[in-house]
Amino acid sequence: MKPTSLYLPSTFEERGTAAPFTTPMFALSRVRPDERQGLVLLLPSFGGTDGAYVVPWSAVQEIGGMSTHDRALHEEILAVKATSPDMMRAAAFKVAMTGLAGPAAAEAAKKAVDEDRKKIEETHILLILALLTSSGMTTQELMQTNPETDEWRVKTKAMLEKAAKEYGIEIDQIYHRIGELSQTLAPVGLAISRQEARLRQLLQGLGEFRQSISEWGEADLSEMADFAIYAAAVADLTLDMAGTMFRKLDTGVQDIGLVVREWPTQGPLAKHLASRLSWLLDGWQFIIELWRSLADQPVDEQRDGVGNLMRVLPLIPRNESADDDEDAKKRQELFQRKRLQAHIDWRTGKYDVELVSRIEQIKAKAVA
Amino acid sequence: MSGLDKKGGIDNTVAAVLDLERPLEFISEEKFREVAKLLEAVHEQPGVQQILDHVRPRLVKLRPGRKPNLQRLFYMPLEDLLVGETASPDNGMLPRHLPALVWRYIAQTGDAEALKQLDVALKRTGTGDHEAHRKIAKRLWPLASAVLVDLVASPGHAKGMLGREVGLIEELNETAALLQAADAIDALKQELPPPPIRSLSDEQMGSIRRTIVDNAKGDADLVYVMALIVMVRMAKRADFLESIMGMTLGLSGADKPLVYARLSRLVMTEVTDRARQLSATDKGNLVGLADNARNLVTGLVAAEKALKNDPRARHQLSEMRKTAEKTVTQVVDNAKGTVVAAISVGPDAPLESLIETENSILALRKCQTFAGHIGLDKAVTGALGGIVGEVRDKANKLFASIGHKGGHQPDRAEVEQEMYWAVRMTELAGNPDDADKIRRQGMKALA
Repeated sequence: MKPTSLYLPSTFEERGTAAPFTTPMFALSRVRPDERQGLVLLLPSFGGTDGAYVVPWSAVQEIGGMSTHDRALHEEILAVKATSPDMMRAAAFKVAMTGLAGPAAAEAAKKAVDEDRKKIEETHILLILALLTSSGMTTQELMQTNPETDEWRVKTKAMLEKAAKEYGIEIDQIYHRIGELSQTLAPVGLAISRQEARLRQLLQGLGEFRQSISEWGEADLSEMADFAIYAAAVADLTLDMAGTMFRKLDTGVQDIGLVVREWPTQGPLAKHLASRLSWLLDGWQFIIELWRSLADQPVDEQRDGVGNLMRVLPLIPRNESADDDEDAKKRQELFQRKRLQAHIDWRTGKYDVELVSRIEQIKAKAVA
Repeated sequence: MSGLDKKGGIDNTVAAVLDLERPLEFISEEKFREVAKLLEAVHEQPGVQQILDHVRPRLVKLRPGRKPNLQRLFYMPLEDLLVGETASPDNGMLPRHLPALVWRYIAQTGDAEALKQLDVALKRTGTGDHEAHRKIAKRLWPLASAVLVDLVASPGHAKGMLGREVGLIEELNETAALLQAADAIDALKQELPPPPIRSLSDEQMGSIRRTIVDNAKGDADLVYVMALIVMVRMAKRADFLESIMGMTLGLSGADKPLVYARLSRLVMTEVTDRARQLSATDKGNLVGLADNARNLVTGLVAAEKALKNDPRARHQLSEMRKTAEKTVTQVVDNAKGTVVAAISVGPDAPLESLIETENSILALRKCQTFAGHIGLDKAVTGALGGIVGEVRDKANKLFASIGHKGGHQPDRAEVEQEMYWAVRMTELAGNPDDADKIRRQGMKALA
């Protein structure tokens, strides 16, 4: 076992999935299953120290003045047991679409749901084309046919039947496997088809965040400078890990024919890698948007912002990184040396309509 | 290279910078750092200072590794006070071109040998060796101070040096005092957190008092510049003014009100700027108006407290208060009108209208935080209460229609949409607890 920070989680699952609450105190708290409580909320420390409070799910609404959006999301998370980033995304969209986080967040959620659906359909088509190409068939004719027509479906079916025979499996199995794979790969994007997707695009935002906050940290004169540089280092490590995971996944699904043919081993592997990427990048979009929202703000608000994002920084769990524990050590040293002064307004349990409104705007942008 | 060639080269550099295809604020960081270095090297040339002033925000942000020079060390005690204006700001701030003028005078008339020695010593230090720079600065400041004390002792001489800038004579005197107190100012800056400082502890205030008393020794000009340097770093300057002038600073009974009056000019400038900002805000931007009105009112309240014994300031502040009251009254009326109209339409309004309605309520909530200071708390609370009441009535009618037997049963999706809209409006104008009651009541009715 590696030497570790006392407070660093072991796995992504232990870190929990980020819940997009709009009440400042709960913003980006994390949810994870718990044997005794069913679910628990990991509430970032607001005492200026490292670590998080573990709150039983039933007690969450009692500890602070939650917005109605958060009360509804709290109930929805319990109802669907949203303990993974993908499930949380679906639960968050369902609640946001009610308008409880404002019309902009509702509109953004509707668009995102629509985009997600379109991306799955697009990935489905790309996977079929890749599979046929992998089986040595020419897809030129298919490419010139509208995928929403019966003509496309008939032609595709005929070609897939041919492929199924070659693989020694039923055509239904091919449809099923392609269907599952398109759900898995839609958020990631299919590199062989140069398809951009949500998580791959997030890396660009994360790279910009790393650069921007690192420059800010180098220029700032306050004690928040060290925290900013630390946040940049965590972003850097996340980018490194994401790069490795993307390469592995892209290599793994390079030959779609092989993945479909050897589904019992290749299918779970692709799902596992895509899921790890989803967990790794969980919570970053909000942080990137939070930092962007501070770009034109006075320096004291930017310093508060660094304090706020430090509380919810998605740290890499101990067992998920192949690196040594430099990251954990740095964090421990940092918190031992300096007490993090997060803005008092973000720590109070009192409902503050202005702060909630700011978080709602960030939330709307984070899914846009 | 001859002087002419050199000048030609410099002109070309400046011309090249001015001719850049993209403004300096938008070129890449790498290019910006290069350009900044070039400009630093020719900073005394005409036009360069204006370019540097223009890109200063980015310059500060990116801080290209700047080569130290004696002029920059000379600026250290003054740097918190430098502003881009050209005329006298008449509030203690210093137009940036004045220290440049003063430095030229020092370089021409000061102890050339001593300055040369300091320059040689400085060139031996590394760009990032701030401690070594500070040590050299501490040797430079007394030299510069001696030249300036002589200069300001003779008003005719001082005016002659200023030439066309004679309107900055008061700022020249202040610069002389700042150089005299440079060591103490440096100590104060080392001890204080970086600006803007939100608050100071009793210990920090005590330490500031001791530094001022020990170093100014009752000299009103020195007390003024030291207090000014701290005040300019504070987020709430009026509050600091009140605290610091409540302390014994070794001033005589006659000097104390004079120092207080000089410091208060900065507070007045700040409040006046806020009033100007409010007047310039787009009248359709209710959230912006509410933000700027709050900014003005909080500044006014603090300034009124700090300047309660200054009749002229009190009169000016009272006029600004009237402006704030008028603006907030307009915000309340407009916001109320927008929301009342929106309630009759409900959630079917286009997205822009829904956002405008929410912004109107948000503006009212912002006004609620300071309305008590300008006697408008009842108007704001009444407007918000009216919104909550109307939405409540609408929700009650909606829920009643669901349970109504025999009549037309409304579409479930539409009812949900209406319900969530009512919840949202109630939360914004009221509170989440009342809003959640409507949500639960609606869910029960729909069950």
